[in-house]
Amino acid sequence: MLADTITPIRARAYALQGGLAMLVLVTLSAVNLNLIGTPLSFLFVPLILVYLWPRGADKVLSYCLLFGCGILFDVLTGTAIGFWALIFMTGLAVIQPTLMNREATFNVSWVGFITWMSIWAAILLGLNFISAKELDIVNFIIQICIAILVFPFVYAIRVYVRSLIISEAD
Amino acid sequence: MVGNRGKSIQVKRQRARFVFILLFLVAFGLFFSSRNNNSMMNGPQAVVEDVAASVLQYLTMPLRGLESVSSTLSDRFKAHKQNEDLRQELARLSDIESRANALTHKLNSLETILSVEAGSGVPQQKIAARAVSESNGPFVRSALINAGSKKGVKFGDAVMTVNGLYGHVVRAGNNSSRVLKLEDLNSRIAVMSERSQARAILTGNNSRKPGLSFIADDADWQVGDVVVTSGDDGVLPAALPVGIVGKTPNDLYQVDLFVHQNFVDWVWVYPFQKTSPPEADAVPDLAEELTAVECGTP
Repeated sequence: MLADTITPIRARAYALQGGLAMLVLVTLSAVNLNLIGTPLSFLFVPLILVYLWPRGADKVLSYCLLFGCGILFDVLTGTAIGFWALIFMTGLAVIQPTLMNREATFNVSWVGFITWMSIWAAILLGLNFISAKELDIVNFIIQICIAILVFPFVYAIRVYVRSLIISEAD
Repeated sequence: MVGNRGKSIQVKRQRARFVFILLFLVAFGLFFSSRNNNSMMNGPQAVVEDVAASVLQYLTMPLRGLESVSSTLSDRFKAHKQNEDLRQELARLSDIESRANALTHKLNSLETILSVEAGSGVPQQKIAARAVSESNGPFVRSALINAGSKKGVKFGDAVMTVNGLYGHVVRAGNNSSRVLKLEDLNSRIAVMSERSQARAILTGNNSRKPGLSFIADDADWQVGDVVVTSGDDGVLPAALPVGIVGKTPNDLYQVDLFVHQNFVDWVWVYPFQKTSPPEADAVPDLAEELTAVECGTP
């Protein structure tokens, strides 16, 4: 596994980079925008970073950072405390082993993200159906579409920052 | 060598698994404990919200600028028509204002004669605040405002915009407060029809149009009725404008909220003295007092 061949210091550094990016994204996602009478919010955008979490990052630190960012996101968005922490951590636990050794191209990553979001949406909608809670399905689908559309931007920023870090290291 | 490495990898994985399970359980526990309003997390949550509100206030400045540009652009297209409408409304409202003033004087005199203190129920004091973060997601509809208990905001206070009722305060920190919007699944507000005084409960459903529930069979509700708060719950003041009644395709009543007519930036909080239940405001039993006086005990 890739994570096992990386030195512990580098693995921790990767996790911290991910955590820092997550902190920025969580804070930005808590802000919503009203353009020409249409409210736009970016609630599911942090999930992009869970999907693009640094592959060789230290797992223990990654879980701890995602837990903290999840709690912060809960406070910022007013959801029940622990909700986003559960989603972020479970997301990482499911995603990481499947993508561990794959350096995927943008197209593969995007399709992978869309698939993951679809599965996640199906599970949540199923739970909503079972618990008979009135989830705003239209809003839910809009949020997923926004996250899918924002994915290329986050991916591009990640590639840019990564290239900066690599050139700094050289 | 290889054996040691394999062992250390195994230990690492086990540690990661243990941390994941531990944090998962903690998050799960927090999730269930925070589902009621009196959670132990309320204090720390209010502190984090205080910090977040001050950060988000600066962070949203450029976005609010962008919003006002977009709003100005869309307003420009409608400016001429709006101007004409406003002139007509002004003429109509001037007449209503003079009538309302005359009625207020008349009502005051009648109240003085009858020695009753009815009042309008709408508090005179307002606390201005800015909605620094609004959550319009599929799970929750709430907002963070940058005014807290230091300015006099309390749990349960009504929050208004220029258009109408926005929600009520569910958590007040020192410098920020969390507002539960009318559309949220957990929001329940006692309302009435301004025309017929028919009562109902405005029930949030996480959509833009909350429903009306607990409607009596003989209640006179009609599409187009203006909905205002009834004040029956003793939690919110009466007569705060809420929205207009409409119907769903399933023939159920829903309310098109006034608050959606514009984007929300500034809000104001109405500090309101809630009606406390008699148990909490008990008068000492007269019989007990008399017995105490007769026996000479204090």
